Amino acid sequence: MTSSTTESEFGESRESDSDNPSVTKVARSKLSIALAAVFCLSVIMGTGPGVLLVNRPESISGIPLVYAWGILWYFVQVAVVIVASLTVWRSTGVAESCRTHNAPSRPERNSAERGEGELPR
Amino acid sequence: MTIPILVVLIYLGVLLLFGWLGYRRGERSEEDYYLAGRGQGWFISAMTIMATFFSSFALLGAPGMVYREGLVFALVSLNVPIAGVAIYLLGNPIRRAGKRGGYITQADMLCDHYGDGVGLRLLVALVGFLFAIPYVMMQLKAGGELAAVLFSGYDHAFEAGAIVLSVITALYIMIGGMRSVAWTDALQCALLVMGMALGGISLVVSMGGPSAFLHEVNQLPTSSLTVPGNTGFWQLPMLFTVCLLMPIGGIIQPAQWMRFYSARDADTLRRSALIFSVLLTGCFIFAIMPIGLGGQVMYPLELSADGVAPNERVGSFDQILVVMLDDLMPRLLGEVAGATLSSLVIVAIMAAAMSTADSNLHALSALFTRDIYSRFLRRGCSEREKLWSGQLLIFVATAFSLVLVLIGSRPESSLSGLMQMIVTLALFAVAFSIQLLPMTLDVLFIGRGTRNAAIISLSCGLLVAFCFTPLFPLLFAKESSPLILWINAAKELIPMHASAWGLVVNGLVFVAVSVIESRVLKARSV
Repeated sequence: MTSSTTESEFGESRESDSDNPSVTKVARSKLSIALAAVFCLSVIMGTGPGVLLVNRPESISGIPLVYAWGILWYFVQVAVVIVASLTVWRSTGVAESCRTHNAPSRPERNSAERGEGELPR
Repeated sequence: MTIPILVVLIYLGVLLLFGWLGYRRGERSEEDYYLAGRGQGWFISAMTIMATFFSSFALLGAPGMVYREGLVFALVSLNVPIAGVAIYLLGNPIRRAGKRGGYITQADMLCDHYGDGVGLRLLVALVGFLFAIPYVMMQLKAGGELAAVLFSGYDHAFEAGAIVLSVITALYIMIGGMRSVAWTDALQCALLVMGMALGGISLVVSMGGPSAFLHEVNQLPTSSLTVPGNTGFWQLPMLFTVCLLMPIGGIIQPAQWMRFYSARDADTLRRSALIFSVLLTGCFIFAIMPIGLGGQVMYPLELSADGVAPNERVGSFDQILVVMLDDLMPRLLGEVAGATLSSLVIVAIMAAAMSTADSNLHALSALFTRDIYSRFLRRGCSEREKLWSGQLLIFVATAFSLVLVLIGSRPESSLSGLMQMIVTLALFAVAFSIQLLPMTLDVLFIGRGTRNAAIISLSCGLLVAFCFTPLFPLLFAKESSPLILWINAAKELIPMHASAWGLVVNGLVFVAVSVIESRVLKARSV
């Protein structure tokens, strides 16, 4: 239940996400799942079987139907990316920059497990 | 003719200046030459990632494809946000691993994870070459197409355009490395976006505004207004697999991978992903689409039972934008202003082509130096020698791509089918780069695959993908051979893109071999 100020990789001071990190984590996780679901839906509807719903030479407000369909899913996808960028990705980036820099990456951990010493340079 | 030449000369001069400035600021080390010291900020990163992704595909290939196929390409444009998401979701873990492991190439990271085998390193390097060479060829072809329209009165204009583009591009990468590539990419990306917007707006204005434009578009043939398009190429499985796999293949290609390594932090890639998704998709949907559709209105296609052919006033599908600029701008804005603006768009097309060619050549040079030269040919060579060998490779790869382009541009060549459209070349290249996906996902998120699984599955994926590309029957097999008949039957049954065929086999083999191998190891240890 603490609030702390940390310095990020690029030297800016940032407040940590919330007083209760576990609540924030759950909310962020739910938001991530919702955004992923909407994005997958937009891919399936915009470029997959969903196209069959509009595949005829008609127009809506003067815009050809297939074109309007593409524009609609473009706005949906862009909205998902904007929300993800401003919420989920931002907090992940901050958390990452707050973490200790000594933690090894997965490839590093693997080479360490194999007992190999120096990484290729 | 004086204004376009002047604008083009100024642009080329600025590029060489950037190359020289990159050289002056560089530290002459391998990491600095290839990754700009891993300190690239968000603006330059966003611009260079966008410029590398888009290339001549954006300003020549895409309008050409819209011109040939019609509205279906609006749906193909939806692949761009997928690439944007991949920039953050794949790019950020790659950046993090690269920073901690000191990696420069894809093979550095993948081989570090699976154990540094010769086979795997060479295979990953091969994927890089299979992606980069067609992509460089595509850009040189764009230079040729541009010159063929602009200097249509001259013999060998195509050849001269391709040669000039390749010489300038190779020169500034050889001089300045990643720093100058990124700086020129930033300039080129700005030109690219401006060119797309300018082309789209001028076309809609010339047709009497948005309402008149849409009215004309609604009168196009039914096949232009629906899926699968005029040639029937964009069947649903093809549309879906291309939209899903092309952006991911374009994001895990060697040049982009190195851009992730060179990004300063997570925030850099977050902002890059955001700008990329919003800006580039918007340009495609609201600028490139009108250009291609307007092309169909102004220069009607010749649709017959034999297929689709461009209007006789348009040399090839990919030339539609340049032909329209040549026609429209002087009529809209008068001789001088029209010529100046159309020269700017022409420079934008050159920028698009060069920004991708330079990134791929630069990545190829890193691949060769790190994964082949200093590891197998001259172990323990000096930094200076590594840089020198990389620069030599840039020259050789450019010359090789140029020769292929010049050969492929002849109608009698067996490469001419593949070289017919820029989009075809792009899809050919992506069919190989996407084969690194199972391995990449395993290295970054799963960690349960084995080295043998990686080697066997990647080989199978590359082989299967190649068999399903248009080049395979042209080069290696007779049309009546059982293999070709089987491949054609499979394509007819499920018209997916070659990359998807390769990836399905690749993924299945990867999982199967990993599971079998780990069980065998467990049984042995018991």
